[in-house]
Amino acid sequence: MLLTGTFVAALLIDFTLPRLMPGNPVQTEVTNLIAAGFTLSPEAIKGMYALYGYNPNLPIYVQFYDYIVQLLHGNLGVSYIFFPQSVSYLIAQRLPWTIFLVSIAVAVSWIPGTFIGMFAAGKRNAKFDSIFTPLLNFISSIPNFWLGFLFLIFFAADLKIFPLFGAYSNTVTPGANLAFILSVLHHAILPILSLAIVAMGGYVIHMRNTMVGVMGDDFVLVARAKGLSNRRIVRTYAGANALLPNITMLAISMGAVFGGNILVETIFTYPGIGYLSAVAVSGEDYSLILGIFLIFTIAILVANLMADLLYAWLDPRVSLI
Amino acid sequence: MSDPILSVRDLTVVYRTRRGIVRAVDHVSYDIAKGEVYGLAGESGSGKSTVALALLGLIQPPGEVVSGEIYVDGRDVRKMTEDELRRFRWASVAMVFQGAMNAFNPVMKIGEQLADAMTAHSSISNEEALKHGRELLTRVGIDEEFAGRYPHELSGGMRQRAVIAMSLVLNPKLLVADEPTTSLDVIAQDEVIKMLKSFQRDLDLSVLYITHDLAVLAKIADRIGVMYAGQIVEEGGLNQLMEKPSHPYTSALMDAMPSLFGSLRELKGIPGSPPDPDAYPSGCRFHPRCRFAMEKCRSDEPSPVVVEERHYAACFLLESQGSKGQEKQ
Repeated sequence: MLLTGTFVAALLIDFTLPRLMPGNPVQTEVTNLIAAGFTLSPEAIKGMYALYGYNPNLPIYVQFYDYIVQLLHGNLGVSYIFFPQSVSYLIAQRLPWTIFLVSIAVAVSWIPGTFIGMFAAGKRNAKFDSIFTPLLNFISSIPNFWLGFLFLIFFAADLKIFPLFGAYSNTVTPGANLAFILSVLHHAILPILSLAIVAMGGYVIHMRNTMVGVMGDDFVLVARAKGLSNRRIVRTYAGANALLPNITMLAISMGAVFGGNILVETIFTYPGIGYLSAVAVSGEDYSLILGIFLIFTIAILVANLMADLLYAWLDPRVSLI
Repeated sequence: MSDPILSVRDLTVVYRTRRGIVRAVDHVSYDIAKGEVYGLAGESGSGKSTVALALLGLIQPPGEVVSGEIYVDGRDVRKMTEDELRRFRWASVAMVFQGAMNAFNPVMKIGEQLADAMTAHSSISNEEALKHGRELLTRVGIDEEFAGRYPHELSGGMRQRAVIAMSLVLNPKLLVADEPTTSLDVIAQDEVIKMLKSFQRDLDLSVLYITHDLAVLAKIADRIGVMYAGQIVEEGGLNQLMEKPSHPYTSALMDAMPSLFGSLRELKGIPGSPPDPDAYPSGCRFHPRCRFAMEKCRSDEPSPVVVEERHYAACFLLESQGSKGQEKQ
């Protein structure tokens, strides 16, 4: 129920925001054509508006209503930039790349980040804290696209160990062959690292701080008094309890990961949704922007839903009903 | 008296804080005989809980045991290595903690939390440990089905009884009960006290019972130590203390305690509040709140004086009475 409300509110914002940008896609197209030396009759321009299914003279709520009706029919519209390809086709083509990038980045940052944070708190010593805490704070506040830039300049442009752009090299044939898979991995390493390193800093700090808090709880003192091993206390007592807030943290951070992914994909010219959205926004491609925002919204809502389910499964005090 | 199960000599525990060194426990000595219930009474902040944690070697930075010896069954707790301490905890000294609400790990089943104390100390199999845990739960009046439940599914009274069951899994020689009845309603309180008393008799347990409530100690304790500002100011048998409280602080505590029997009387609070542990008053630490404070009390610290056999109090009033002004050895 709450999820549906959030979804509709997000749709409304997604719908309104692009229309607040100055100009509109047809106008951009017309200006381009005139600049190229074409003369366009008012009828031709009217025809273009009709073709894209966009009528700026209708009130915005009517436009929104039309959009929802089309959406419920599964129609996301036609892209202006990649005309005549449909938005659903474009997204379906790009989405797997982004899912690949983001899910691996989240997995390789959250899982080790959580464990590092857990043991950092378990073995609290002043030296570790005074060096690693500021370092991790520093890392987690680096913008991931900037890190991507550095990686690109250093590892791809200067050292030439990694490719400069794309998802796989054009010398391999896409399909289930080893050369293609290796090429894909080779191309994905730098973007994944840019996303993962920054995200991991945040996960480590959050887990460590939660752990330090839980370690001060009574039941941890009881566990010590019971003569349990330090390992068991850190894992089963403090760790299991500190894990719960870190799952919430994971869900919250999904928005930042997707946001950062737009810039990272753009920098690496990676053929995913993020790069597509940058192209769509700069070309004022309303339908495409909307379609992509819709996917982002769904992705973040699904991430939150999964976090809630995971939470209910791990914490006996939380039940789904 | 036979060899005591617990013997604490000159124990001093400090906490190093930014504001300076706090002496939470200051040269405290006491003995507990086998099968004896020793009650430690005092207001919050008097150092009672620190005394308990020190017994298990659980004082952690910024806290530190700076001096003294703690002998449990003849072994000095302060000289144990980390591994020896781990084995010693719960097997020799178990603890019933204050605030049973939080004594259990919220994401672990009760039965497992009883069992892991056993598996950590012996080669007992997990199944056997769980079985023994269920037996103990039944003994404290909890249906064994609750072994499979999580802590939040038990009521406060049940949880406190489960905590008692957990403290007994390894047949400890000494049981430390730190405010076990605080935050329980009177009926649950009474249940818990009766239960502790019966276990103590059946298993010939020695118990260190820590509370701010003298009325509770009157029901359960054999000997009582009264703590004020990190020191034991009076110690004696239950009847000795009740009949002849010799330190003004002990008398004040008793005046503040309602009595169910006897004549109706007005309850008196103790004026002022306990001193900040980082700034104890000079001389006798109780003097700013004491009705009988003399000039001497502001500058000199009184030492324990024998009131009668095995009954001591640290107050200058006793010395000035002359006759029994004999110092405790």
